[in-house]
Amino acid sequence: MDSLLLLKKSIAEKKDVKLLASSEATSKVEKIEDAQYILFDENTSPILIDEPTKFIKLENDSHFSLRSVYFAWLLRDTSIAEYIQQCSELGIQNLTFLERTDLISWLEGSSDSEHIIGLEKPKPEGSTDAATSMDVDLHKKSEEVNWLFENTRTVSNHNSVLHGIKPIDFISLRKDVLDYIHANKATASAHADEQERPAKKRNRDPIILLSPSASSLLTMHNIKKFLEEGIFVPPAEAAHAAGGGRGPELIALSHKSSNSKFGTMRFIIVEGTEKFKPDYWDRVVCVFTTGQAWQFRDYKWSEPHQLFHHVKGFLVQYVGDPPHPATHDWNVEGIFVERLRRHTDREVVSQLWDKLERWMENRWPLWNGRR
Amino acid sequence: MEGFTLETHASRIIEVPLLGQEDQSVEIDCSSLPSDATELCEILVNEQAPREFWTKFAHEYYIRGLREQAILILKSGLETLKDSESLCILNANIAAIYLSMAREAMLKKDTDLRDEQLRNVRTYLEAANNIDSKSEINVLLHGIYRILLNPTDKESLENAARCFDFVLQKSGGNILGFLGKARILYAKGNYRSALKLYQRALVSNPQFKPDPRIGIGLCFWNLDMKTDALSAWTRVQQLDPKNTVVDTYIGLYYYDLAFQNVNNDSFVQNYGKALQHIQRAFKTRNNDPVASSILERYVYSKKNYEGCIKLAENVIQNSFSSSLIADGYYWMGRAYHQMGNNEKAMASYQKAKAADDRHLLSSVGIGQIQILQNDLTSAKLTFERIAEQNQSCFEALVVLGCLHASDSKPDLTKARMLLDRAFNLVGSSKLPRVVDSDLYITQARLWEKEDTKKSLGFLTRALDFLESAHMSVGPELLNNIAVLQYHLGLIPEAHGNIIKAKSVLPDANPELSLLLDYNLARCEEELGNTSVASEAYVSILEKHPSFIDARIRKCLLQLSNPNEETFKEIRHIMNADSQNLEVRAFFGWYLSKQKRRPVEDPEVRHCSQTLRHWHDDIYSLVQLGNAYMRQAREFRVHNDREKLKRQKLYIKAIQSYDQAIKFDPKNAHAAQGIAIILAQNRQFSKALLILSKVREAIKDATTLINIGNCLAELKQFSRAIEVFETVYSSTGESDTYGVLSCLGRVWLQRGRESKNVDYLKESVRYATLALEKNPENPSLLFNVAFVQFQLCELIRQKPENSRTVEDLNFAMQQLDASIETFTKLVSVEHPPYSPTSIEQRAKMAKNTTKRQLERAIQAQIEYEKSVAAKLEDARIQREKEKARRLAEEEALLKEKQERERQLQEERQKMQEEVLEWRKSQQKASEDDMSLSDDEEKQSGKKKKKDRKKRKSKSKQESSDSGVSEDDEIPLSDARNKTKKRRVNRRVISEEYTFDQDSDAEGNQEEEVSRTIEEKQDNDITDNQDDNKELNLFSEEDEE
Repeated sequence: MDSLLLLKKSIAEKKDVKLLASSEATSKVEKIEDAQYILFDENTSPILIDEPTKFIKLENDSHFSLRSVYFAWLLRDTSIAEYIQQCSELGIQNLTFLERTDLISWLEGSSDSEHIIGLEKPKPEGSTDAATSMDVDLHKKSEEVNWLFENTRTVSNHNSVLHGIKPIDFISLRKDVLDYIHANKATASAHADEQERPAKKRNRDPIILLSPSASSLLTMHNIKKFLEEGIFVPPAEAAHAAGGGRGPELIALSHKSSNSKFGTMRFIIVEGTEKFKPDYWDRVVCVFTTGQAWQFRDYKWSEPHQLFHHVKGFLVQYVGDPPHPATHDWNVEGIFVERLRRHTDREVVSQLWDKLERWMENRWPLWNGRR
Repeated sequence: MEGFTLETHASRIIEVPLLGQEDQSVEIDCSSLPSDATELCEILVNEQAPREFWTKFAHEYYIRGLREQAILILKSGLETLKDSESLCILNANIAAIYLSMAREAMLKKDTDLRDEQLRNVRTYLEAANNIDSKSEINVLLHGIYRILLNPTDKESLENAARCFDFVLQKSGGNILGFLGKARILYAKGNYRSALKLYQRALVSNPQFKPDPRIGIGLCFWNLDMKTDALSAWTRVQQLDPKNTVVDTYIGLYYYDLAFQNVNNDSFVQNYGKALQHIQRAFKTRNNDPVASSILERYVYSKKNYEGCIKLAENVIQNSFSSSLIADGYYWMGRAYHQMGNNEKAMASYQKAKAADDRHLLSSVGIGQIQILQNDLTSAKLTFERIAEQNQSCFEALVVLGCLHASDSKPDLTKARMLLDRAFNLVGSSKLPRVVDSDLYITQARLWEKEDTKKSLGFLTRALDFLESAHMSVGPELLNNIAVLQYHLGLIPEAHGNIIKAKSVLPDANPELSLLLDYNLARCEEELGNTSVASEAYVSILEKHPSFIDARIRKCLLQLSNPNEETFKEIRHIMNADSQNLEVRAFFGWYLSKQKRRPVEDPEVRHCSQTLRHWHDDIYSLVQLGNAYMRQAREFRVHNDREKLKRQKLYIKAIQSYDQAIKFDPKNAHAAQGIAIILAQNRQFSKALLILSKVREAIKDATTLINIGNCLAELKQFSRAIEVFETVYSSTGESDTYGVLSCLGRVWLQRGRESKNVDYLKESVRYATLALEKNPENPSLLFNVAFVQFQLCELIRQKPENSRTVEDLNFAMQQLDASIETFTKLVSVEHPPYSPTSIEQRAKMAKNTTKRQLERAIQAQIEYEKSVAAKLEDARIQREKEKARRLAEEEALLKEKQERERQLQEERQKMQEEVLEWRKSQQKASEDDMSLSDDEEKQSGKKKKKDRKKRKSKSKQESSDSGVSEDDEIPLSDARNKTKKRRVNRRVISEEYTFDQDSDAEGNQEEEVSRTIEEKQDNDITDNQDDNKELNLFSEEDEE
């Protein structure tokens, strides 16, 4: 019996079809890509799953394999796109939409299929007539039909019948359509804009880099209190208050400027540059340093003179310590913090912000775009 | 000019007297003049002959045709004779001879010779004028000279006329003056004046030659007095049988007479006479252009084209009339036209037009040659010019219309306009004109796509023409008439015409037979005889399996009862003929009717595939729009993102419709799709405006239903109901489109809007009717229950004074019915809403609404009881008031009687006073002081009267106050009643507040609102494209 007929019979009788790795009935597998044989009925022998079937491609009369046919049946409820994708992944030849539809229809009980050839079936007496025969070649036209095409004129066709019985010009409706599309697309795009707006804001905040040196007076533990509130806490003390360990990787800082041009700005403070993307360096406005050149090894500009040509540099020291030579050599600004007298911190921070703001206003490339 | 009238060739002897010898002379016999006049001149010189001898001999030579010798004699005379008179006469004679020679040169078309002779004329004429410019002879010669110089120049003719006038003033009877002036007047078209002058010349000298009668005849002819013209010319012939010029004119007379009566028996006789005269004239003088012109027509009609061409050349070379020359060239062109020599024909026609720009027929000839040479652009220009200059030229309009109609990209509007003008000319023309049926058929084809009704009208006129002319009507014409009738919805008439066409179909014509069989099947299908149509299609396909249109129709009919073979055949047609857009349209329609909807819509895929290859296929664009719109409407929105998705589907749909309108602005189905989307966007006014235009093109129930729905949304309920009633009256039996549900919904909206119970009852009625039509439809069952519930709610919420216990009991019945229905719907297999929501609705109705209604009934009962009690109290109050009023009336009556009694007393007192006054008067005569006393008394009386009046006033006031007091009592009673009513209302209001569940009410309203909204969405009708009209149907035979 033909494999297609066996498959159809199994489906009709709702019997389980078994996929086998070999011709042994006991070598059952779960995945069709692993199968070599297929068993439709316990009373029949397993069939090679890659044998050609009588289901053909009409364009070139090529035969689909039983694997292709059965896989199409298994995925009969999925979309055609997904089906084709899975065929591609598993290396199984896929059926076109029409072919698959025709196959499923036949397997489900339809009596005939145009893609199946040479399948013997009983013919009821007198059921064949010229009007319904599928063997008729519709391209071979009789002389009379050709005469009709050449000598007659069509008063209406599938397009002109849409006019109705009285021709009326509707070209003015195109304006209504444009109005409708504008109104509704504006709504759709408004939604889209709302989703994108926060990302844009986040990506434009200026960045301040701290020195990772252990001797740095400004660390990820005390920088926020210092810059926002004007209170300096010694690094060891701040670390202890935070419970020890490494500080946060990123701090978001909000600064309200005394200069009306600046208003309230948001700054990002980080210590390491490992996660920097190339375009982040355009947003770096300030680098705090301890005067050690190794800090800049991984920076975009490793050489201190070049670095502090592009960003504002601050070197933080205690009052009373000898001036660091870098303040003369590196084009950095010295920031002097009192060891004990905390009441002077606010003034120090205020001056620091003034200098940074002036630098941003005059030297930062993104400042114009921001305004 | 002495001796001019002498007859030629008469034997005469001139005796020249010898010089010095008085009685001797030289006799010269003029019948044997020497060929060389030199000797004769010597004789005259030697003998010193007088002037008359010189002129006599010159004349003798002239009349014998020896003009050179005559001039020789005259010139010798000039040398010999010396007196001024002689010199003047001799010069004039020489000028006259040269004028005669110039005229002959003109007739021979020898322009150079003519100019030379005219120069000679001028030379000798000037010489004569130098001697005596006032001489009559000189003036006459000058006039004739002017005519010959420029025969058609107006200024020249004016100068000539002045010359003749000068002569006539001097010598009133000068015949030459008469003839000269008549000639000029004739040329100017003043035939009447010319006639008079010719007649005066005739009166002066009946024997004069040339015969003035010829001129008289020509004048009569041009004055359309043709019989008189014939009489004049006949007289000329009687007097001078050898005069052949007049033969031409007589022949012309009979020619004209013949062609005025072409259909008459006298044509042959008149035409024969004409030819006899013309031929005799032609034989005598074969360069006669008029005779040649008539003969060329005759020769052409005998198909002797070579002879015709020769005669035409004769006309052209010998005629001085531009119209005659044009005629010559025209007939030459026609001859070459018939001989197939298009180049020469064109050249001849163009020369004819150059000779006479108004020659209409030559323009037509040019156009026809241009058509033969396939230069259609030039032909159009030619016929357009003809039509402009000749508004009533029917033929030009016909040719021009047909030229435009046969363009590869025809300007149909222009062609239609031209042929319409031609038809109007025929209708308004007095001349009987025959319009070929082919012309009507052409015009019908031009109107076919623009105005089907008009096109059918022209085909009908073609049919009428053929029938009235007893010509056979072909099956092609009948078929075409039937096809147009089919498109206008006149199916029975179309059916009859196709049967008639089959009856007149000649045997052994299988092509036409196939066409008529197919068209007949289409008519049967439309008339509802689907089984007959189906059998016809099967029969057609048995003979012609490849006739795809019949196969499509058969499948379409089978889809009402489909089987596996039907589906397979449809798929087979699609695969076999996938390049046929009609097949693709049918397959797309078939896909749109499938109920099973895979994730990827095959309808969308099919339309997109079609549009990928045929990007301007309008049907696919409209169907794609329909598919997207259906997807959008079936889309269930739960959040904003899904709302956006649905909106995008609507945008896709309306863009598809927009493309369809762009390619085909008259696409009514695309317009309806746009209207539906605007309605979905709640732009109902715009949608309604569009649908109003669409309904003129699409006479379909679906369009009316869409209009009704828009009107309902705009709260024009009465108009919406009217529209739905119209649809129901035409489709009511089957309720195919659910119009009863629409009516139910509109009445519901109207009732809720105006809180009218009757409207809601109407809604229940229609919803029930809809359910009766489709008893198995759960949605319709739900609708009935829903409206019943709404009706109950409306009645319940009415104030007590506008409802009755009966109303509330009716509401209770409705509520019970709806509860029962909702309960039943919970267990239905396919409920319109989720079973949970329906169950909740049933529970709420049962537990909450029913209880509320029961309380309302109790409250209404109590209310009505209290109203009855109040009525009883009011009745009692009225009785009391009535009694009180009777008492008051009695009191008033008594008071009135008392007042009358007092008045009576006053009257008695006054009478007594009068009596006293009279007595006092008597006393006054005795004593003056008594008078003053009376006065005082009188004044006292007056005071008393005043007091009485005051009393009466005070009495009236007291009575008024009494009345007001009485009036106050009812007012206070009314106030008391009002207070009681208010108290009752407060009680009811408190009860209402106590029982009302605001949350439940709010939820209910919200749910109701959702329900209505959903129903509205569902009820807006899809833009249904019936594919019955979408297949190739209307083959027409172009033959």
